[in-house]
Amino acid sequence: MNKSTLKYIGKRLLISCATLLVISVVLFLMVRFLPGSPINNEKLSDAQRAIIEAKYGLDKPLIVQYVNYFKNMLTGDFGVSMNLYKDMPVSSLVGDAAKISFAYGICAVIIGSVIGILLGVFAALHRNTIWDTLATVISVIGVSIPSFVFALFILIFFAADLQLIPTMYDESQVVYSSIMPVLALSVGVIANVARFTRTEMISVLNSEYITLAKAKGLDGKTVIFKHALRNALIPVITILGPILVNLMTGTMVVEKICSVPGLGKLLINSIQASDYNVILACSFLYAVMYIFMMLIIDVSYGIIDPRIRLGKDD
Amino acid sequence: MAERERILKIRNLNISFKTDSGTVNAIRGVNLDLYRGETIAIVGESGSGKSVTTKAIMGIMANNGTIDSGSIEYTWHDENTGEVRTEDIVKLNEKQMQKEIRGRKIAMVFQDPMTSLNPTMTIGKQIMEPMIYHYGKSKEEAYAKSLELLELVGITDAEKRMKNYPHQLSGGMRQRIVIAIALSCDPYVLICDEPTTALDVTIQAKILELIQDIQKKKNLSVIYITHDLGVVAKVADYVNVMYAGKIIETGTIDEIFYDPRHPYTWGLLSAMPDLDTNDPELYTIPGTPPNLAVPVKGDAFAPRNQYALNIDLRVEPPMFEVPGSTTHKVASWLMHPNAPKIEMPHALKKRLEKMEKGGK
Repeated sequence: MNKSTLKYIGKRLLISCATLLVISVVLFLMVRFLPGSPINNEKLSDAQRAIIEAKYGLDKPLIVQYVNYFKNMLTGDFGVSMNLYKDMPVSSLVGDAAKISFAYGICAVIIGSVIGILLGVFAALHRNTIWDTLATVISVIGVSIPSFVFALFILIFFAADLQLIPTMYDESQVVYSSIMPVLALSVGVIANVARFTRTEMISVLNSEYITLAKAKGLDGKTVIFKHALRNALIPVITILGPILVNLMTGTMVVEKICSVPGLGKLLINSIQASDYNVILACSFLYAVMYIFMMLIIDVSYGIIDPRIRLGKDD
Repeated sequence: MAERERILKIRNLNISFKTDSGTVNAIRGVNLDLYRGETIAIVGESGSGKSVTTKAIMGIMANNGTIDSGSIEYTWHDENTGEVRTEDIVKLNEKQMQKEIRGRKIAMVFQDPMTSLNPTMTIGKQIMEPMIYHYGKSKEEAYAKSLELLELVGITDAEKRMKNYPHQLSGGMRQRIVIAIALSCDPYVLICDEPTTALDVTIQAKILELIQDIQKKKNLSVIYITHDLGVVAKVADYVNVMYAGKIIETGTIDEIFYDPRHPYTWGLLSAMPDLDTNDPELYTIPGTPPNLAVPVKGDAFAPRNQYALNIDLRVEPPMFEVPGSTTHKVASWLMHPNAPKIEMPHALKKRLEKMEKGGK
């Protein structure tokens, strides 16, 4: 990595921080304007309510609340859960949930993109044959059927009927109980990546530099793997970032079906309970992930594709 | 003059493509000869089959194309024993083509240098690749030879350029690189598929000169595919005019330019823009090329030919030799001894005379 790349990354990091600052303000305001309140017990008297509000600092002006929240956030303190998990620190709540969701998301993306790329390349190489049609059918099914339907299908077939895997998340059997949600999540990735890879591969295979590579007298394998694949995969990498982020937000339903204690489930529960600090932390984490992912994608893009290698080298 | 050494001999080549709208007979009985150190040009409209012919020579036709009949005989001196060998490329399988012919004996320069280099590979790697692949050269040897090649194609700063990526170079430079790649395995035949069409006019002449220069140095045989008669006039020894998958007139450059016989060639020459013509409109050949998915009856050019005879619509004309020449041949019934004597259009005649005066 050269100097200009580092400079670029630095610049991007600064911009990312500014973006996150704006996001934190917007999120904070939106959460405060949610209907309902974390103190939702109707039996509380006004005096009791005031005491609780004072405890969580909700009685102060909004701007002061935000500044306090932001200050604490910088030290890694995201406050405590106001009602969902009484007074538990949010950072550990979200941290535990995010670990699971992260692991699932990354597994699904890795499994999905490897299979998807293979499928896409295969379809492109056998273009307009029965194999291509078959691969297309698979990916259309994968794109059009939501992941929770697959989750349900796997749940009914493999977990309930065949009893090969547990039906619910079981902490003593992490790997086994992860099979179902990860598989369900990766179907969509496979489908998207396969379709994208196929299109890119076909256009690359039709390009002149592939004809030139063939005209050099290289064998088919060299032409495909050394010349075509790399060029075809560059655009595929750009969609992996959004796919990963979508997966993490999209895991909500799958997490619910498979009873996985992940980030999605936590976010849904916290919104239902108006647990301000938990909602904020979860949403903010999604924002951080999204921006960070985009940064990684952009930088890796530059490493793979010399045309966008940042800055002038000479 | 020494005995001319024939390198390529194409006889009665027929190629068809299977498409959704039926079988397209893209090449219909092409004959072509290429001798060592000489340059031939294949001229014709888009879709006349010039590119297909050369792709067949390289064995890189599209998947839906098949060589139905004919032969492409390639003659070379064996690298080790020096004996003369002749092989019919049509009969070789894909593996032999790839290992023996493509890149090694016949190399190609493509039309658009902006798209014909791999954007994610350094120039150096792209030039070194075929040498390492075909001759098992070490990286150092390949590197040294690449530098030589880059200098040969007129690139300064060769060492720096080796590390560059295609997007860092201009179009003219890239075409020089493509030429360097083509030369990397010391081929005998260089096929240039409209090598200057995509380039700046100022660069065009330089690239043509470069190819000619290298041809002399390496005693290469060159096939130019082009629709630009200006290019043909500059570089070719022999010209083949192609129409609807057939060569309809062939001859030396002087014969084609100063004594064209086929009405289609007349049309092509008349359609060439120049500075002397007062006519406000540029001549174009009326009509469009025929659909080759439908069998051609008679002369394919007849419907667009104002000089067409009745027989042109019924029977395909054979190749007539132009009297007094061994090289000039024309596929037109107008050449038959019994045909009415038809002169080329007056305007064209004047134009060619002027060109001849200017040329000599």
